[in-house]
Amino acid sequence: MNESEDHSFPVEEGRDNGPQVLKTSTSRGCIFAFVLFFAIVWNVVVSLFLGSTIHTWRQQGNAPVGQLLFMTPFVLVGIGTMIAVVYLFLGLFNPKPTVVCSDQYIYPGSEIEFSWMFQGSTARISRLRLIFEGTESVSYRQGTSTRTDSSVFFRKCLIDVASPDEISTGAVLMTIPPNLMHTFRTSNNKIIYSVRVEGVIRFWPDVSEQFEFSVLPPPLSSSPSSIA
Amino acid sequence: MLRIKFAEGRSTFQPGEKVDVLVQWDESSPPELISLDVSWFTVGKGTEDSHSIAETEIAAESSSGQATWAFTLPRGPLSCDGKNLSIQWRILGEGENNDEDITLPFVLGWQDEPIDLRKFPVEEEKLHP
Repeated sequence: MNESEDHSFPVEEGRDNGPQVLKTSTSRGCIFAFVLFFAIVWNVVVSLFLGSTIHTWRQQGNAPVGQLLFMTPFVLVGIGTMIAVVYLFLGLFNPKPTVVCSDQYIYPGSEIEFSWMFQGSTARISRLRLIFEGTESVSYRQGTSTRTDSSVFFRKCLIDVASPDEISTGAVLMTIPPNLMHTFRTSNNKIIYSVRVEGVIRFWPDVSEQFEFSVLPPPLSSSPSSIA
Repeated sequence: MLRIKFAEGRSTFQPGEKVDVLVQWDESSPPELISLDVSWFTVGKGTEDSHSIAETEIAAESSSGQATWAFTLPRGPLSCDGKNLSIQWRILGEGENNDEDITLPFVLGWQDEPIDLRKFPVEEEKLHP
């Protein structure tokens, strides 16, 4: 505990309150690269053990049942990772959404506009939803590992459209509840806000991108009910 | 005995507000130094985070007496209660010769109670009907 500057909540940083292009919380390419790397390492290690088991089987003529049963869950996980790699690879070719918020500084009680557009063809998207979410996220030690639990405490569907014109680009107004908690970030505890873009593509991985943004505590000169 | 209380008798304060604290001591062996610390801290499933926003030390020169101290509250973080995370505020008082800490909790917010995160609506999400 110290008396230094408190960075647990966002404040204005001197810029004008113009529009902001929201950033995605995770990159599709990064997730794909991570899962691909994991799948390669996992399957190489498992295939070495599996090769050894098959070699033993051929030499002895009898199936090493115990060894095969032991290997089965590892092989299934390996197959699962390969399916995930294919799924995420196909998802790389999905249209990429961009979300712009009308305000740089969002306060409880603010009326803001979210607008969206896509890079790439949206013809394959049959349904699009924009979902506003507030999430509690906490990290704690359990044994030798650190676990993180997340819980959504506020979810509101902002749009749910199915016509191609409405899907490709549009805008929606939202009033942030006046009594909403502001964004809070410390090393182990977080309250975060995001807009999730969910697009359904038939027989293909869905579009799913999350865009985080900050809700600031009301300025000292005004209570939340006076911000509009 | 060491006692801490708010001069105005209430325990909910707004951001930016100046808070007056009354410290009283009455002991056979009075503390020579009383330290006060104002901080927020997290409560819940996650590992605790905390941050001190003001602290002071009061010299207690007689066996009984009282002193006042004032500090200004920051803009945040506001007090809140959630499923896995709560943010709470307190003043922690400690006498130099006293093993027992005195805690005075309070709420920082624009309303009388901490923001209840469990009161907000959570709509179902069924993307594929």
